[in-house]
Amino acid sequence: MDTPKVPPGVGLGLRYAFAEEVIEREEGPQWFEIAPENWMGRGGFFRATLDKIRERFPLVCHGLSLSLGSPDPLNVQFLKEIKTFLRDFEIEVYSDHLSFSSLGGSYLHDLFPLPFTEDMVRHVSSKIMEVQDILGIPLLVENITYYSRLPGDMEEWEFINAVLSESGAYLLLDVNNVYVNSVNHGYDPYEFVDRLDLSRVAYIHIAGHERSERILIDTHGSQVAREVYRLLEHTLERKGSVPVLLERDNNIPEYPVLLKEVESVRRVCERVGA
Amino acid sequence: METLFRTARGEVEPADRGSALYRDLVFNRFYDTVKTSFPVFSKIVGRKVLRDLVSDFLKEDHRSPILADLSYDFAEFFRRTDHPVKERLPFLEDLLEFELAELEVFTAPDSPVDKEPFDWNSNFETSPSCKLKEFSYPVHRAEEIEPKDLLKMRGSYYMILYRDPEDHGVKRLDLTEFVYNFLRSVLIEGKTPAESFRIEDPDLEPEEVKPYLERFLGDLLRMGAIRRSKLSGSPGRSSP
Repeated sequence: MDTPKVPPGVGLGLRYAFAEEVIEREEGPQWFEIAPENWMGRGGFFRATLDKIRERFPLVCHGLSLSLGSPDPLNVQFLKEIKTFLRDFEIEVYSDHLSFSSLGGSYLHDLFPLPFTEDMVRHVSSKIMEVQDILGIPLLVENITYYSRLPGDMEEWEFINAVLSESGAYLLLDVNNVYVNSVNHGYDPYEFVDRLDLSRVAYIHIAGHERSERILIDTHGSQVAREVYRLLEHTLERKGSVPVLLERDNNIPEYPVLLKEVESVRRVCERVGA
Repeated sequence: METLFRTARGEVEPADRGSALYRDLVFNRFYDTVKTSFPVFSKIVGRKVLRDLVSDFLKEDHRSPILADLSYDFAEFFRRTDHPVKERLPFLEDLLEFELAELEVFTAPDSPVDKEPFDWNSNFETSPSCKLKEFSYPVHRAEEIEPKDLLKMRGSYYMILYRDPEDHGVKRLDLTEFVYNFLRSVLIEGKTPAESFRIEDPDLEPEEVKPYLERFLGDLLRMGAIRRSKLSGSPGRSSP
């Protein structure tokens, strides 16, 4: 299967809150990432806005509901709707998470962690391959933040590498998630990155987190922390040139403020020559 | 995995801080989705009742992978629930249905506009971005009327909601009982406008009403709010 065609440079996660401003303003990021679940099957404002945005910006899709680790079978009907959406908007990049969000056919719309085991590697990989067969493009999978660790005998980096190797999927590496997990579960984030198979990284996610009591929560509700920028630099130094995407889902500032943050990410990429 | 999932939906007490956090994150996501989808309903029932409702709602099965579909599930759940707030504020079911209709109209997929002019002998239906509604309370004014006053206003309220093709906003037209019944006969019961045009009120003059209805349906057709249904062949030529 071909390498994912992620646009180069720094992208931004598109949100309803500033979608109209994207159309009105001349400046913008180099590309946008959208959650297909938030746009598919919708007309009016949604269709018109996305049609205008894609005239000027490349789009990639980052899904939320594949529930790859669920013991449930793949929701093929849903995946076919995704396929139609990707075709309609001529989008060639699609990712989702190494997690589960449904059980017994019921969805809770959150990303729950998987047990890091060989059995789960085989289970997730087989579902990823099914997705790739249906869509005809490689799937990108993202490492999530997790607040509970389910019993397992593998390290997370080991688990991720094994899934990438067995399924042929690519990695959407979220460096904020690596950092948050490293604080919450007490490991070295740099060592974690170094142990990943970076040759499979198709692009990187970066976002803000917040502290709640004694743990960090991946809220996507604040600016990117300095420590996460440092981890991004480290990753880029190891990996080399790779697209990066800024995510913001809560406390969304004005669009120009977000663009300044996109610019900060771009400067980091330039500094390390990525 | 199952224990974590059941903890997150509030069926099992959290065993540790991590699973308690998942329970809170899932609850907040559901709560925010319901609150955003039904802002007036949420304001009227208040935070405590809304939290109670969401807590029960969360324990149900949610079959759609699309988060926004929780709005439909919640409206259906509220129809079934026997929460005491329904007895205290009997207009809530109508209010939820009104806010859901606004959402459906706003988000509905686009459909092609019927280019043929209106005629009296075709069959018509509402497009996905149009809803014909009847309520027992003026819930479309619930934002401006105190709940205690709304309770005293039980009656029949008719309206059509549709999406403006230019600005994509939701528009509402209040209807008289006569126009509502006419539209209901055409758009829901599948009769042609000619078959549906019956004037029993002696105060209404057919010569005045007919051109009005023709203009009104013609406008709805041009805006894509209604379209010829599959029952209909090519446009007819005669008028009643």
